[in-house]
Amino acid sequence: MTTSPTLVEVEEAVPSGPLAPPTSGKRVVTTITRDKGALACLVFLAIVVLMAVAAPLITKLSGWGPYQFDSAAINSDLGGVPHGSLGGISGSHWFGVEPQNGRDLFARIVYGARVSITISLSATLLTGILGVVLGMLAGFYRGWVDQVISRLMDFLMAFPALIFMIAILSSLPSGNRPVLLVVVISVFGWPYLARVIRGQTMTLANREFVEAARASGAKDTQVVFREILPNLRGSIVVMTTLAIPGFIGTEAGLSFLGVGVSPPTASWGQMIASSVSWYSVDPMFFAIPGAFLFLTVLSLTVLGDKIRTLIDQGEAA
Amino acid sequence: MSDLFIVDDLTVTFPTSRGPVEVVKNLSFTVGRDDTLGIVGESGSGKSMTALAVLGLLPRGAQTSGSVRLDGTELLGKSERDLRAVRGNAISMVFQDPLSSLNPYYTVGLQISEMYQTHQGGSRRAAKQVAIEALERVGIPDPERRVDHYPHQFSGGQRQRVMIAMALCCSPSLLIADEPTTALDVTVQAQILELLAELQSTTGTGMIFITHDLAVISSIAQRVLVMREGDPVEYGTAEQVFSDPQHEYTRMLLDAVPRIDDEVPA
Repeated sequence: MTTSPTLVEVEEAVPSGPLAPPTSGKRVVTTITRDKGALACLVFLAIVVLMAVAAPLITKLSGWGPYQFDSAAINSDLGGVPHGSLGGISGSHWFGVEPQNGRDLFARIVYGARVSITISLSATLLTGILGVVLGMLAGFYRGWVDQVISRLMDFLMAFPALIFMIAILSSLPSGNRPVLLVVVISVFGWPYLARVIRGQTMTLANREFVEAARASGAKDTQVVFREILPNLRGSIVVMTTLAIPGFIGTEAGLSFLGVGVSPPTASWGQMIASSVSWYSVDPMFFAIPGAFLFLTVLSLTVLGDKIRTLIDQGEAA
Repeated sequence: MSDLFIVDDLTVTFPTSRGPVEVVKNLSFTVGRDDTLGIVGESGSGKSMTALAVLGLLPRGAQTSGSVRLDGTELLGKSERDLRAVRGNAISMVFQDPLSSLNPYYTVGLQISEMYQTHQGGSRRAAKQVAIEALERVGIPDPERRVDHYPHQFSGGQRQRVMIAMALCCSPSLLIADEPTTALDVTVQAQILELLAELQSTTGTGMIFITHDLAVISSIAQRVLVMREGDPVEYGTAEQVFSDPQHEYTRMLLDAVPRIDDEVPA
């Protein structure tokens, strides 16, 4: 062996900086709390979630339950238009009352938040699990597994989902509508996540660290859970946060069409649907649930977008 | 038999739409303890396929024939489970690009100790101690602190040192280095070669060094195998191959290396 000359240590000095992977959860949180727009969205969402969680407590405080009729608040001579201006907004009915039957709008908004949040979060969770598991299976094993899953995804994505949802939800017994809604939304929602996960798994599976892990004696399960899944974290977080507003909208849309949550359970979409015939005499009946729906979806979208930018930057760094 | 690692008549075949293609043809070589075999050849000559075949990591559909023996144990045809126990433990591998071979989401210490625990067992704390010692052995300064750093916090040369530390943490009897210095600049390259040679002399690990760089081979290998399009073209001691190449292709490769005393082409 030839002797190599003595070498001066030229490797660069130890890079300083916090001990953190490219995108840490902490960094996402600090950046969002510094951004005023994002912070406002976060605060609004916190209020909505708080409303949903503490609904019975809040309605006790406001004095009216969501199913209580207040015939004193409406003018039955005028066909049930609420007394007072702006849809009957007063000290006892903070957001006014429903025309015709006088149910408290505030209480129904609070309980409606419950429905929206529960359904959209459960649908996101179910979609997330289905999408990640099936996407990774297809991307990791390829071959016939991929063929079967991909064709199923193509089929579901090409399918007129809304029409099918309406058909299925109106034909099935309305025993447990919220569960049914979650299942139907997820069945049509997972391919969008799975398609992205499949593609990323395919590129990750060919990365050298996966090959290195195999060459070090790692099992398939170790490769999938220890090497590939953590690297998909960013995409999963972004895809699911951006999916929540979509699901809230879908739930509201289906309730609007009369196939969602069945009355008397309150839901924002259903409130908007019943306000349609009243919009000229009582615009607030439409404006209030509409505004809540709009702001919730907007906040979630803005936040999701923000998180995506942060994670993209982290991955590029 | 004193040879540690014997490859005999190894052939790797891939089925394609235009019939089977042999990417490695009738390859035979031996590696002794404390011995380094250099495999040289251009891109696509079957160098890396040989390494993958030895570890049973070929893509699905590939067929192998011949014999690969480590310490007298036949490796070809072993079950996936048995092979996993060999990979990283008795035979370990160092890859070309140290950045992409390390998982960006874990600290280097975790990656080394996980590999150690997979093969040798033991507590998490013991494995971390092994990781620190392994980093120290490959010349990473301040290993107690560096063990908790992520791959992106290391320089290129240091990352390759981390990869070597990982490959050697289970004291393998054979180390396969697949172009370990190609992604590094020349000074760092020399340091890594020096480190490999030094570690080899203390541990007695046999080494297969795959590269397309003849200068690197001449400084590290005792025996050289030249490959071209899957064919073993020439096989012999480094001295023999470099001073008296028998095959025209070897001569061509050697002539392609620019020399300081070459005439400048007009």
